[in-house]
Amino acid sequence: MARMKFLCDAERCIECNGCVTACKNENDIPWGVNRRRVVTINDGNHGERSISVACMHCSDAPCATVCPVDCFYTTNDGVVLHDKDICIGCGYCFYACPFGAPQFPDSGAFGSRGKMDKCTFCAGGPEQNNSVEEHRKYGANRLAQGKLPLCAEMCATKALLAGDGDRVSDIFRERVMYRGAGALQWGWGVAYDKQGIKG
Amino acid sequence: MKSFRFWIFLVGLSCLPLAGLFFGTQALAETTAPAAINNPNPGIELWQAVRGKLDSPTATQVRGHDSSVLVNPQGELWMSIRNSRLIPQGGQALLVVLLIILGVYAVRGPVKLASGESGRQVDRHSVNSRIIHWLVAGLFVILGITGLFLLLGRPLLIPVIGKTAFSVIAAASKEVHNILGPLFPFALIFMFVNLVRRNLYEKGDLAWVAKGGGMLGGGHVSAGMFNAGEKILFWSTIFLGIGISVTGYVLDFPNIASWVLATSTEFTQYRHVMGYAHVIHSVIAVLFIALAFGHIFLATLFVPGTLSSMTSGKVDSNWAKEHHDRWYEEIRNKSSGDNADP
Repeated sequence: MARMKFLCDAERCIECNGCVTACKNENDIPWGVNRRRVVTINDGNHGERSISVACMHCSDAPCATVCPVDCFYTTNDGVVLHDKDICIGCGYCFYACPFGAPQFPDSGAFGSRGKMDKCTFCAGGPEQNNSVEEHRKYGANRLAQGKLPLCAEMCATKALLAGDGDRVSDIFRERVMYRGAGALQWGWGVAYDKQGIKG
Repeated sequence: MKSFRFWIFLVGLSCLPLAGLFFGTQALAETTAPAAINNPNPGIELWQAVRGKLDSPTATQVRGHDSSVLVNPQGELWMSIRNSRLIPQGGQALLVVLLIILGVYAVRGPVKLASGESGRQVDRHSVNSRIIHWLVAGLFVILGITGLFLLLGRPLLIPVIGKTAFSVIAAASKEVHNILGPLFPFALIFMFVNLVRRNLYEKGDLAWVAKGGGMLGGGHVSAGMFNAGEKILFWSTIFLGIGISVTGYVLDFPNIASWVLATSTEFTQYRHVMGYAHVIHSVIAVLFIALAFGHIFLATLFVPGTLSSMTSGKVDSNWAKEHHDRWYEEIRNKSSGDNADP
């Protein structure tokens, strides 16, 4: 059984925010809600790296354990989804999530938190696959069409990988074997005055 | 003897590789190591920065209090406190308090008036006092029930009524709790102004506490308008109320810090701040509800004749004489007695 996973290759991400835009467009996400975001560490300094982050579809999802109405479920593909008909928009999942994935539109009474919205791995929700209702609540269901999440499909540098965890880790492992890591990386000696190349 | 030598030989042989290791390291130490790489592997620092262990500057185009935080380690702490402390132990604490109350009622029974009812009523609480009391009480009961739904509904109610039905209750609870909650501190302020004069320390309060309000040793203990137990209730309500109001406002208005403390950057409602506020709010709520259980029990079942002071505002004169003798003397000295005490 496939277990869907995201992996962001920090050596490749160039902070173009293409994944963020692709996600917003494909899923018709309202203003103020970002299912995916790109975070840049040491922006403009030595050692700058960017990472694109969204819901990581945890095996032991903290959001699911703290939810007071138990609205989360894990699909057969290992994707963590939630039922917006049951969600009450309390925000507890946001406190528990390590990655800041849950988002809340201001749609409750007096502008309070509305029902939670988060990355669905482009797998929709509990409604009929690719129905109008499903698209309205959860956005696209590309998995049901045999496609992978659009953020990863659109990534210009193929930094963001999405798909079966085994396949994703095979691709990443091959990259690391080929280009090396840290001081063994191609270009390291050029960038750092050949200090990286031993002997 | 022969076999002994053989074993010595075997042990010596097996130690040879260790000797090699010893001499080998000596040799390695003598040769000069190749020049170390000046640049540390950025991968190490990167993943430490991702976990927030270095104070590296982070940036993102998404606006929010801490949207540039990649991994929030406090979330797991909050999750474990909520799931393994607040929910089971909060529920158990309330159950234990109810059992204690049941035990006290079974052992000591209702405290009836020794001289029976006189039939003569005296004024105890004014209309203002009663309105304020029921304002606080009404808000408290609504907030308590809706709060308990959110805390204990998943383990207790979902198995009984199912997720869909419970979701309706929980959604209503969330809205009611969020909208009525902010009114609670105002009700408390009214009550504080109304009752604080009568809840200051008086002579005889310590004696009342020492005798457990008559629970220990038997016999009634002298008391004024409010006995020491009622004063403890009052001050507990005020202090628990302050705590629950402050944390409640933090939770209910996720941007309140930027409105109220616009000039200060010291306090920002990050996720972990909200988590701590939630834990404090829940602990205070459980203590508050336990206190309310005690108060309701004492005022209705345990001491009959008390409830009328909060409905009609009047109590039987014998009730006043036996439970609040010094107050009874006080109102009797005021001759007519038609002007009610607050």
